[in-house]
Order: sequence, then structure tokens, then C-alpha cells
Amino acid sequence: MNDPQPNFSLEAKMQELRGLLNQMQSGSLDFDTNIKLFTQGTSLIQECRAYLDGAEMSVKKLTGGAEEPFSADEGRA
Amino acid sequence: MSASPFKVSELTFLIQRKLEGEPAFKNMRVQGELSNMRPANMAGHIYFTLKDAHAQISCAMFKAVAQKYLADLPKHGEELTVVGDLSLYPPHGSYQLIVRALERGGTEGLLHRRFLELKAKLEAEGLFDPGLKRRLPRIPRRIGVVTSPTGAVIRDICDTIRRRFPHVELVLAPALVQGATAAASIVSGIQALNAQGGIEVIIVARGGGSLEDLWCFNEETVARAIRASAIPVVAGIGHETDITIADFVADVRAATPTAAAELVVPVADDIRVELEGAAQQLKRSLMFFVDTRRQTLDDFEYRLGIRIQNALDVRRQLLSSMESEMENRIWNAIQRSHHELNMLEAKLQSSDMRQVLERGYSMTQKNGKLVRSIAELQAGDTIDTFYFQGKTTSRVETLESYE
Repeated sequence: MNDPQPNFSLEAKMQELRGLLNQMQSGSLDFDTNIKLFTQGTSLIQECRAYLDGAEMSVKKLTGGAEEPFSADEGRA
Repeated sequence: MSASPFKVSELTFLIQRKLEGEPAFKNMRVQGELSNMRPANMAGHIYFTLKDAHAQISCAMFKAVAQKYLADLPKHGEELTVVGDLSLYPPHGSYQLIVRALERGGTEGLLHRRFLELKAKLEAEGLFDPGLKRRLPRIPRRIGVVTSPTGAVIRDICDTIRRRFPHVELVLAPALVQGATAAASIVSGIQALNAQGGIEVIIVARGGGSLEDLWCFNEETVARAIRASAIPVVAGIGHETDITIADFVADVRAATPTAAAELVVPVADDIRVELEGAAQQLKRSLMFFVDTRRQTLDDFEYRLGIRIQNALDVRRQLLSSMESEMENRIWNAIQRSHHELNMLEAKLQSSDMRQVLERGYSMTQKNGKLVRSIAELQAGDTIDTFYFQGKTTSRVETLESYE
């Protein structure tokens, strides 16, 4: 897999980001927590953007339990 | 004299010639209800009877024809149309239809009935229960696809996903999607993808076709494999109007293979927009936080300022009232001093006068005013003359001035 972060879950990161925003918008946090959440949120956004900019689609074919590279374009006229 | 009698075979052959020579009995279509079908005999031929309410006719389907229908033989009571030629079999003295083809009321009708039967059965078992439908992951990382490795379907799926969200891995379980072994191949594809690990959603897909072409997706084994899959399954089979049992049992039904591909991934740009929004929101939240704190501080500062101002004002007033009092006092003191000075001066003056008078001089006043020159007096004026230890009051009689 040419994905640099095979275990990266965009879904999980986005979920984390949403939770964090909700927390910040509750407005009942102290200054240090706010700054901490802001920093975390910013780096989450960067990670997600990097993922979207980086990961390329790969297509595999299952052959007896093994995954082999596959091109759907094979045989395309 | 009567003519010599027919031999049985002569008559039979005569009838046979008439019967088999009649064009109307060749390649004709006869409709009726199937009954009394016997299993293929040693030679592979199949015999059955076609009947309606008033008559019946024997039918023979020879091996070459019978083979085409072995996989899906019509059942007793089924309404069907037989295409064939009328023929006579001399050894039995019976006529029969030699079957060339079966038109099953038609095949579509039968398949449709089987479809309805299986649907009702699985529905009764609860396999289509909406409560069993699983939500698809919003952003899957690995997507399984069960379909043919060749053809437009897998290409369309790859293209669609690459266009929308190329940040995933597709794992294709190649399958036959038509014919007698298709169902088993689809079932093992679903099972293989389940065993592969990390796959978050499975697309089962096939392009459009007739009901017969799509039949494997109406097989019970396929339906049960979809339901048994631990991974949510999206069915994208045929065109929009094609509905199969697989569509009912799948977690999500997509109208076409392309629609299935669209359902399993988001659009990357939408995610980017969401991220952009989140970034803005983060900034706004922090700014709002800072702003409200700043306002509170400003407020504190303002209130503190007012307090200081008030304190200053009080002191300033005190100061100015003290100042005016001080001025008053000083002024009074000065006044007093003046007065005292005047008194002293007068005293001083009077004490000087005493010394002069003691030495024998006198001082004259007219109307309380000191007379310094004879010119100030006239005859008849009353004057006071002061001496040491006394005074006299007298009238001026005469005036004599010295040059």
C-alpha cells in the first residue's frame, strides 16, 4: 500500500475534530484548555488535509486469499 | 364383394403419412398444463403429458432438447407452450408431440413466481428486517467489491470512486455474475472479503440484464451470504428498475453499480470544505473566548477607573475646601494684624504727643482736626487746646498772623 499512514482513519479524526469544536463552543472552558483544544484542532485539520493530499487509490484483486495489484483498465479498448 | 382388409401396419402407416404430412401439424405451438412428467429415461429422453380441461396429448422430448431444460425443468401443473411436430409411433399406435422447445408461460413468469416465493420466505424469516440494516461507514478505508473482473462494471466503480474520493483501497473479489455457478462464486467472494480483514464495506454489483441474467442475485444462498456478512453490503445490481432478492437483503440498495460506488465514499472536496469550516470555527471560538475575556478586563478596568476617579474627586474637593479655608484664615489674620497695627500706630502717635506737651507745647484742634496754621481759623471759632494733662476750650477773639 502506498498510503503513508495505513492506520490513519479520516473518519475518526473528523469525529474527534467535531467533538473538540463542540467542546470549545460550550464556552465553559478555561484559557489553557481553550488554547490546548485550539492547538489540537489545528493539528487534526492539518493531518486530515495532508491525508487528502497524499493518499492515492489502489485496487487489488483477491486471488486465493492474496491481494494482487489489479487494473480495471486491462482490456479496455 | 368387399375389398381386402388393411393390415394394421398398412393402416397405421397411412395415418402416419397423413398426420406427419399435414403442414399444420409441423412446428406448431400447443399450449396446456404440464402433467405426469417422468424423469429422463436411460436414453435421456423425457416424456410428459400436456392437457387442458377436455383433452390431453402425449409429448416426447428427446435428449438433445431435454438437456437444455434439465437445470430448470417445468413442474407439474405449470402452464406452458410446447413447440413441436405431431408424430405417430406405430408400435404403440399412438400419436404424440415431438418437442423442439418449451415456452414457459413463459420462463419469465416462472422465475417471477420463484422470486416471489423466495422473497416471501426470507421476508417471513425476517431477513429484510429494517432493524438488521447496518449504517455504512462515512469514510471507509478499504472497500470490497464482488463483481466480474472484466467489463464495464468494475471500471465504472473504480472510476467513480477515484473521481470522488481516491483515498481508499479497493479489493476486488472476482466473481461470475451469470450462469449456473454464479451464485456460488458470489457467495465465496463475500466470504473471502469478510475473511480478508480491514474491509469496511462491500459492494456486490452487476450490470443490467434480463431476469434470467440477473437470476444468481435471486438465489437463496446469495441472500443468506449477504445477510451473514459481518461487513455491511451495498447491492448495485442491474438498472434502476431491476430489483433482486439481494437488493432486499443488502444493508443498502443502490440503483446501479455506479450509484453503489457513489454511496460508499464521500466527495473529497466536501471533506475539504468541512475541514475549512472547522478551521474557521476553531479560530472563531478562540477569538470569541479571547474577546469576551478582553471585554471583561476592559470592564474591570473601567470600573476601577471610575473608583479611582471618585476617590480623586473626593480628595480634590477636600483639598479645595481646605484651600479656601486656609485663604480665609490667612485673610482674617492679615486683617487682624492690620487692625492691631493701626491701633499701635495710634497709640504710638499719642505717646509722641504726650512727650511734646510735657515739654510745654500745646496743640490746637478745630472740630477734632489739628490746626497747623492761623489761616485755618477765623474769629469766633471754637477751638480745643491740649496741654500736658488737660485741655481747654476757647473762642477766638482776634487773629494776628506773622509773616
